[in-house]
Amino acid sequence: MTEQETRRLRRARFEGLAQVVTAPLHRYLLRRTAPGMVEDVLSETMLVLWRRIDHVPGLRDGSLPDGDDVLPWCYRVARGCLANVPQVAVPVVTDHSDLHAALAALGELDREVIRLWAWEELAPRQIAEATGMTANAVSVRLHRAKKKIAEQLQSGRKKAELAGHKMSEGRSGQ
Amino acid sequence: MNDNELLTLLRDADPALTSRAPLPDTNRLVEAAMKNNSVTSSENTDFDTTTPAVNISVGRGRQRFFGIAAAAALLLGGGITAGITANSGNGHSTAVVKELTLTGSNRKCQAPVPDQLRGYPTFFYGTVTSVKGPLITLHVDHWLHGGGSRTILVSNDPDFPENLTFTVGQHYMVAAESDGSIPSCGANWVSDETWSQFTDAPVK
Repeated sequence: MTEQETRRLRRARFEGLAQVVTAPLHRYLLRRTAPGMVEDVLSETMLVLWRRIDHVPGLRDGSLPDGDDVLPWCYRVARGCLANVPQVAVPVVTDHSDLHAALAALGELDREVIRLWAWEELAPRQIAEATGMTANAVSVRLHRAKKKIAEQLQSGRKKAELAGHKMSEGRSGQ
Repeated sequence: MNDNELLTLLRDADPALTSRAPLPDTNRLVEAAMKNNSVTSSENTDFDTTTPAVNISVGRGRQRFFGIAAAAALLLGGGITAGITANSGNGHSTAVVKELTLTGSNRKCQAPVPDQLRGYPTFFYGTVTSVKGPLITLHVDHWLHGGGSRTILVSNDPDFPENLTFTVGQHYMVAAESDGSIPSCGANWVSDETWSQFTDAPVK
């Protein structure tokens, strides 16, 4: 194969990959950093993907890749690029502040596992690929993190109910 | 609360659902990536996907050359090596610097002045975003010469503890030669006040 053909194939592979992963990567970054940082980190991520185009698993010549095959690897690249920018808070929906507080109370890796499961809709095997852990370790972390979040949410609700109960008692006492 | 209930709650709270950020322009990103950099040699299968984009890939022979150059410079008294991509911004990878090497002691430096540093082909002002052991990551706030990536990796040789200490959140000014060497006093901590003087200086 001539150098020109190799270049053309790489270009085609990258264009196909970009069609499949750009939007999911954009959402991945919106969930993890401030909107103002997303464009820069996405550009960096695409640059790394282009550099590593020969190593991206699941790419096929002549057809678009399957997102399930390529996305975990691409998320891992994006995660690496994110690690190199200042950590800034993600704007959250205030209606879900209790849930975001429960997420924030998790360790960084547990939080990432939960997010990849819920928001990126990855299976434990894919989360393992995206984080560099074993699938077994992911399953354990996922189970533990779900339990922690559920407990924290329930504890918060009980406190809110108790506070509401006391307020209504106070009003009826007057 | 079962898994499905938790999943529903989490998906309702997805920040991507409420973001007003415009959708990315895939074609522009593709073109920018392909213009900015070359593809890693397909023979190189040992890589780290977390490596930031500043570590531009080079041919194996060239990597070896820079490795030898960096090692030699370290033996001669250097202390910092860094991977950096410099790009002219015209669509062609100029790769001015691959490895930066501190060629002299970095202690007891006078406050940097633009006249001393503006002649270097790589010259940027950045903020340290992480320090993990000997590995320091800088976010480039301003490129003064060279340019390209927003992230620079610097590995500080622990054998030279007298070298400049990098602290997360602090600002630094780094200058380097075209062969990748950071000159003596080429990496300097700068205060915000000092930096404002640099931004006023006529750096070309």
